[in-house]
Amino acid sequence: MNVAKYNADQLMSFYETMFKMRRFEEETFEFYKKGMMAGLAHLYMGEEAVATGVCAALKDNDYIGSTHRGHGHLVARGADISKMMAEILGKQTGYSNGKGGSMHIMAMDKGILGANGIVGGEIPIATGAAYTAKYKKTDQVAVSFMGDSATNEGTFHESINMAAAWDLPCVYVIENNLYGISVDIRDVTNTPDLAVRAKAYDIPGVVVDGMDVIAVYEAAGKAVKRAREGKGPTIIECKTYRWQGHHVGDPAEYRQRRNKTEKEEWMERCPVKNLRKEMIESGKVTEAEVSALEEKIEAEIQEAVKFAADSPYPDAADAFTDVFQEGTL
Amino acid sequence: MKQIKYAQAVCEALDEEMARDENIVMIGEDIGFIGGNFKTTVGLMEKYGDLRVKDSPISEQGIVGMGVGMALTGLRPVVELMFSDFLLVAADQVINQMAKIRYMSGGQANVPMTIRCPIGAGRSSAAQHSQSMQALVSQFPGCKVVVPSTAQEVKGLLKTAIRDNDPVILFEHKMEYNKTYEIDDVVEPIPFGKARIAREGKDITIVATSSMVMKSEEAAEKLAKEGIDCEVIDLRTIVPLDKETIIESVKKTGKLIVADEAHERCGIGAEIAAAVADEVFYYLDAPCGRVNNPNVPLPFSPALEFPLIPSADKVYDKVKTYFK
Amino acid sequence: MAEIIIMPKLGFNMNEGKLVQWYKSEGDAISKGEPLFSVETDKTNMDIEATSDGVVKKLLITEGDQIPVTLPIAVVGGEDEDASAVIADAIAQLQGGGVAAAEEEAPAAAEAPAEKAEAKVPAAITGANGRLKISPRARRVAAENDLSLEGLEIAGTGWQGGICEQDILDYLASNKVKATPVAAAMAQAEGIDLAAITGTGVHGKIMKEDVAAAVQAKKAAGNKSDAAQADAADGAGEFTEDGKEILEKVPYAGVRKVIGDRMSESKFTAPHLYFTQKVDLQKLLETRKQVNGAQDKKTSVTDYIARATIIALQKYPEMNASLVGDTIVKYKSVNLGIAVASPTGLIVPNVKDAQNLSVVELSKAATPLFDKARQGKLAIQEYTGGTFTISNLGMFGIENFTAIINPPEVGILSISSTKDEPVVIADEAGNKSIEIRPMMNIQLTVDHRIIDGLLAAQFVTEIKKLLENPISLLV
Repeated sequence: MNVAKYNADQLMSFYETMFKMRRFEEETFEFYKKGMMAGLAHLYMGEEAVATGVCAALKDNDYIGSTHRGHGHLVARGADISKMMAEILGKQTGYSNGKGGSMHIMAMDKGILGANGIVGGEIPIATGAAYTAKYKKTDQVAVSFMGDSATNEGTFHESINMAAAWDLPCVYVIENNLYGISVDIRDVTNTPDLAVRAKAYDIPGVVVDGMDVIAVYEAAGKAVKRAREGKGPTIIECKTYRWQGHHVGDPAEYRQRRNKTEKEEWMERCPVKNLRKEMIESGKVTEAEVSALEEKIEAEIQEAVKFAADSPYPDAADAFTDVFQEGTL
Repeated sequence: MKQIKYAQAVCEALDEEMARDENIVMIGEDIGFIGGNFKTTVGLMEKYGDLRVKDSPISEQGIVGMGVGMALTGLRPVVELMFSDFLLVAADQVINQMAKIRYMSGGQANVPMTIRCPIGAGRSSAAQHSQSMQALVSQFPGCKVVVPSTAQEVKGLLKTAIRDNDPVILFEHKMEYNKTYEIDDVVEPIPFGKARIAREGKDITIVATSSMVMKSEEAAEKLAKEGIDCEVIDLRTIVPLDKETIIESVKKTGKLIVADEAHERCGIGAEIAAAVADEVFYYLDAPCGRVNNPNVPLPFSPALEFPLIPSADKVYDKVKTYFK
Repeated sequence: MAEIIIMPKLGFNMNEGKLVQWYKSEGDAISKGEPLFSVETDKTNMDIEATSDGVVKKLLITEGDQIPVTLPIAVVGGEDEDASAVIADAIAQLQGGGVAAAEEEAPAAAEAPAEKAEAKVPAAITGANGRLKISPRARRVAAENDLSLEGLEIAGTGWQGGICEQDILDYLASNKVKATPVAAAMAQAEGIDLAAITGTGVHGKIMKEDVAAAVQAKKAAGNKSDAAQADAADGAGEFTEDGKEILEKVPYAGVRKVIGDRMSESKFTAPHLYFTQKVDLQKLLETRKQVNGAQDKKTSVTDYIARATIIALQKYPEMNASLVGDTIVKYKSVNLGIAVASPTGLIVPNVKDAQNLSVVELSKAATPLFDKARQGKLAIQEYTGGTFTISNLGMFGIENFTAIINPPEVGILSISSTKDEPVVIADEAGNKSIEIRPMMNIQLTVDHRIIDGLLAAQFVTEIKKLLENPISLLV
């Protein structure tokens, strides 16, 4: 991890985002285990470096399309974690007033065009946002996050093909955590790297270590610059890993088929822990400074948890609002 | 008043709206250089440029999804699908994305986009290019469903669709494109959810969609000569549904037929019949009837296809069963 | 195959039907749906249509005949068919039912109404399950016009031969004169043409009181008209076979028949049991005098008897009851019926919720009912829904009489006249003397299925006690 180039503020900023994601997901998991959360959630733990690095390369008015594993993307964009937590619990105060839940947290004020429950569903939507930016000449960029398995959906091909053909300002970020639920991507795809598909569209395709926030940030920076210059899209494949199964409650034993210690090996490379270690070792920040930051974040997290737990559920009648802006049901 | 073809009325609506609002962008297969497979976008690319009138690859899911993304970020996209059958190729983006994003976001975002696509049999296009998808998409909350009849109607309703802040699927009828209609020189947007009484009558109500309106009017002419006075209602929009006009008519006539070209099963006829039974059961003097395509795929051979298509004669015959 | 036409059963309570008119003569062709004959029911006259095409082979009864339902009345068969076997069978059935077949050729049917004969309508009016096949809209229109669907025989021209709105409208138009069944029966009994009466009910429906008013008007007019008209009354001046001179023949029909049928039904269904008591009215008559002197409303003896009956009914609620199917329903409300003579017969208006009324209030509530009853102007709700009846014939000097229970009530109290009689009176010391006292007989009739003798005896004795201690009636 090349921390040398970055100053204390930059490093602490990366760490703040990643630590917040980690703590947010841990609390989400707690809600699930305590039976306070309906349905499921797909946790981002282990993948923090990807969203953090990519979003650090974006401007406030840029767009992202998110996935079912979207909590990290929202935190990285600076979304209100209290409203996120409330939405995950189905509360009236959540981002979508309880209508979306974990899988569909949308934060238009942060340029988040929605987390998507359909694998690959967000790819053409983000591409459309890029089309708007091109048509309106706004200098905005759209990022479409996706998991490894989304690269095998038709929308992946259709969207990147058009973005490439029309030089749309879009960056396609593959979070390759190796599994589509239980299926190993290496068993259903012929190429070890997914970014090689960029060749088919004659656009750049890069593979980066998704556990290294600085590597991701640098790759994203290049791709975003290229997009903003009107040169077209880039595919970035981030090799990463999820600490939990597909969703809360998935024991994920399928991950031992290939390598009994696969999970342990990946967890050794924890992006949060390693960034903390390296930035302290670099001497740019002190242990005490980091601890103080962690305490600050912890307070924010506890505030969000309390806000979500204390918030009221929506009225049953609220189910009938927001179908249309105009007209009747 | 002037005489124009239905396809030209569609084109005029698009042209007039694009001239009015630069946020309107069109994307679709063959809509640019050749002016549309059914000549509904002739001259628009030349006029507005190839970024506003975009010839797309054959990627229905992609272009509908891009429309959603455009709509979320400040444009008013009009996506053309060459046949309504292709809605199924793009079904996820139409049903799971376009129609649901506003709701899933708790009202944070609008999706002001329009999908235009033609319906209808009669061109020997066989099972994958002849379907009428209006009932299918009406099942899913979150998008408005428009079924215009004449050139005047399609022009007015398409303008409303484009200006609407919610997603709209507007079904044009492919057998109408080449027909000539009389149309006002200036056509204002026609409000959604307000059916048109195409013909007043007192004996039986025929609620019709799309080209079934004209077929029903033709049947009504013939029936009038036999002393049967039909009221023909041009439904205009399935979502929102103007129950009030239908109910007022049924209160008057006591008899209802719904004429729609989609397959009969689980169709709009069943929906309206149920709504009428719900609200004005004690005004019904006979069961509600339906005129639809039967529940078979549309075949290729004209010898097979034409007997299936709901026609003016079929409306006439159906009405006659009520007046034996 | 030749088909036997029967006297139809057109209502749950219809046991006999009267043939009003044949629309066809023997040998006439008839098609399905064409009216064949007209039947009088207890409500109205109704046309019955042929259910198949054919030729009228035989008419078995003649116009005016009244026969039990379901017996053969005609045979219809194919044009060239020999129907003699079927006719013989029909006659046998008819005779088996105690009716002689018409010997002579049926009189040529009066000209059948042309429109009806030509109407091409399916005759089926009921579905396979016997339910009326009628559209919801027709049902609503019928309800709005107070047209009862029960037993309604209208040919359906609507969906699959069901009754549609137009059928109901046509029916209403052809039966413009809408009248309640009681009013129609009254009019028939009195020979009043309903078409000449303006109805005062909902939608101009002719009510009982409208007919009563017409009867009064007719009588007033009749008094002025010449006597010859009166002499022309049915049967007047004729003789019976054994030489009796007839004064008048009156049809046993209409209200008379309704009352008669109800009474015989009551008497033959409910085993009647009778209990008589003699009541000393001395104190009551004094009390009444004081009450009538103390306020404006003049109370009658009947008012006190009513009050006593009500108090007794509250003590013995078994008497304030009715048998509904398998259930004996005892009522908290006392809707006390008081029998009154009216222009068309005995009628029993009842005072609703009488349990809460004092003697004076009872009197005030009952008086207008009596007035209306005498004028034939009672509304139907005023003479239905009673829970117990008293019948006072005291004013006619009757010494004692037995009343028949007014079903579905379980008892009736009959009150006879008050007469001075020598009575043995015992004072507190037990010394006896004979005194002249105003005495009255009351008799209780009970339905023995529901009321036992002991209870009936206690009940009637309670009334006696109350009447002899009238102060208890005033508290």
